[in-house]
Amino acid sequence: MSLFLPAIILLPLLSAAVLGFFRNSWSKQLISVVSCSAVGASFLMVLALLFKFNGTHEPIHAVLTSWGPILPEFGLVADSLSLWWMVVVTGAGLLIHIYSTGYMVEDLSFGRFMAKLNFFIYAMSLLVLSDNFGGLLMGWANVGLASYMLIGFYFKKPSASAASMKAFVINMIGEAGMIAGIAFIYANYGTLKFTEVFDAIKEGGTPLFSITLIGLLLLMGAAAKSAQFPLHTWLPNAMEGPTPVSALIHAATMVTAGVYLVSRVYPIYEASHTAALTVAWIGAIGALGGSLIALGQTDIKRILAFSTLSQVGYMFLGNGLGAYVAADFHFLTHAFFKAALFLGAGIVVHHYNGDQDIRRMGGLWQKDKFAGWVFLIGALALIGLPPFAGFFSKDEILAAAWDHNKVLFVIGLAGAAMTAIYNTRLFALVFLGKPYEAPKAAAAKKGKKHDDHGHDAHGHDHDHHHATPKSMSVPVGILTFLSVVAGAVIFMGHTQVHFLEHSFEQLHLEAEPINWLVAGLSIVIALAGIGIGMLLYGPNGKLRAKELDLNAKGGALLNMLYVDQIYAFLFVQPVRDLAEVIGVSFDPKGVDGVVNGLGESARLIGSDLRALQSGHTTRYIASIFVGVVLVLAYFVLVI
Amino acid sequence: MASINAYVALASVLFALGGIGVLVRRSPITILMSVELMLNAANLLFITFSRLHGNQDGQTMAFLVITLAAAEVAIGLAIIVLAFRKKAHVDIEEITELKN
Repeated sequence: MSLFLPAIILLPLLSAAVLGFFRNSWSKQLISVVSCSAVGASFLMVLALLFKFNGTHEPIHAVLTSWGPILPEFGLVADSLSLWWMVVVTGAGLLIHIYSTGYMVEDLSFGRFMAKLNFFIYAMSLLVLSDNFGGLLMGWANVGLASYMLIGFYFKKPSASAASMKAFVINMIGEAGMIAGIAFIYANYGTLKFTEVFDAIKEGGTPLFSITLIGLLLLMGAAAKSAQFPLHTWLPNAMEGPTPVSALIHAATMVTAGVYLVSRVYPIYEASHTAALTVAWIGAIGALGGSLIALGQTDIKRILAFSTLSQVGYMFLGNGLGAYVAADFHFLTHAFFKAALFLGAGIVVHHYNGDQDIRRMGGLWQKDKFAGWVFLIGALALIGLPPFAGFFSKDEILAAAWDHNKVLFVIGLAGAAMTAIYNTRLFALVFLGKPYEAPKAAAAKKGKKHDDHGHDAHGHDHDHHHATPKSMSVPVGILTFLSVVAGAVIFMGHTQVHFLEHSFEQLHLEAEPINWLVAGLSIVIALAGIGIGMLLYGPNGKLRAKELDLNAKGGALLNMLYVDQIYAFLFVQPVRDLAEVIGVSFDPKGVDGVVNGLGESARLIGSDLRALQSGHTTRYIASIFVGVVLVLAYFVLVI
Repeated sequence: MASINAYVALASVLFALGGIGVLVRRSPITILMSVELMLNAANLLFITFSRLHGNQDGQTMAFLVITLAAAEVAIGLAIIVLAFRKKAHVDIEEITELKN
């Protein structure tokens, strides 16, 4: 049984390597079968481990290798937290793999795409299953690499390769902090194994300052990976990647890795109140800020990206307040409904031949009921209305905020209101009202020019409407179904608490009934938000015409509160200027000067010495004589 | 037997004359002759020291040098003939092909 643990990781990796090698020679069917069955096998093994774990509640260990004295047993562990995450990673991963076989089938680099997706599953599994900080860091870096490769999948598009670099650089900033944090852990406790580190923290003896520092450094990595303020700016650009990538990596699993990290190392945040409070505040800022910016965006995938930012903010909020179970629960439901929304967005974008601008959509409900239902259910789950999944998990986070910190609760509630409004806006602009009609050829041309950011470049010309293939609709259907029932089913039996409490032994968790005051407040707020949204953006809404105006100037919200511009001014431009100085003066005059000077002096010495080599035999003989005389003189006079 | 110094002095003078001849004369044949002079100065010393030490090693060396001188002259003359065929007259100052 413990052989399953390495197999879960290695199967997708092996499949990625094989597919990478045969990506152009195998048929698309074969590639689809191999990639999906590798992930499917991992999923089945996770389920098998899950059933075994449910019987005994004993963590299942497997040792992979040894890192000498630093980490004698580099191993994997299946405990309740890692299994909880693995079910989603491999389950949602499998569904999105299947979806991709339909969505990407027309792409020339289909094999490359599936190989990279498999590589991501490997990396994320390593991240989640590791029983030590070393493996966690390896997985952490590898998911970053997978994200980089998949954002830049359309590498011929300059904006896509720029976006992939941006994501990689920002994640590197976070990783630098994380590596420093792990180094501090090793320096303080002399081990990298989770259990040993946490036992040492429980025993006490470490100064609080060290623990806070470790917590904040790890948070730096978590915030970068999870696209939380102030390291969030890569996420909207990451939407340059194909839609399945946005669904799997930049919504369901990878961006929530920061949530996993905080949950996994919870003893650190239990020990340091400061670090925990920082987590909560970063989450609250993300929750409100993300939902605000989502309201001003016009690109369907960017709206969903900021929605992800905001929802991950809620998870951070829960984590920071000690409600780790609520955060992990919200991760699970969010993975389902956000993946459904993204995959639904993929279907919508297919309808408009890759155009992602919601101002040029509208009235899609009439043409595609399936996408409409997916979006409606996904949006309701995201808004958090009962009985949809998002209600139960988000409500637990808000209840925790109510118990611990009223200010954060108000921010969370405001975020919930904004969530309802932007979701209503998104749904109303895409599915309700009249379809967009290009008024004139000139306007259409202008519109084309305007859509310079990310759409999946599919090479078909035929207009609107193609039937969604089964390989796409079935996974979306399953995810949508889960967005409806997962929350309620899990919450009814308090499964999340009973299952996850084995990973949070220090906390003595108890299942709590629903806090009806908080729940009622959030339902009222959500309904009000939907009402306001319909009033503003509905078919006869007051702001609808203004929103649909393609020539309207973007405000602060469309420009994402100018954070990118601020970073460009503070960091990017100074580095560019420095590079300019080095490139214009230091390099040509300094470095080149030394190199050219050496060459020039050799040339001058050579031209002087050339005169000696005249070819006159007599002079050569004379020099021989002089040499002999000198040698003789040396022997006679000196020795 | 006269003083050893006389023989060494004579050999040195012969060697110096040969050396000067090699350096200053322009005709290759004269140069070859000067080289012969230097070689024979060395031979004179070999034989002198052979007599002084009373063994035959110096004599042997002298014969070797004579053989070597014969070979050297043969090759030297051949080179001079070839150079003469190429240029119609032979002046050591004009043969500068070594620099290429």
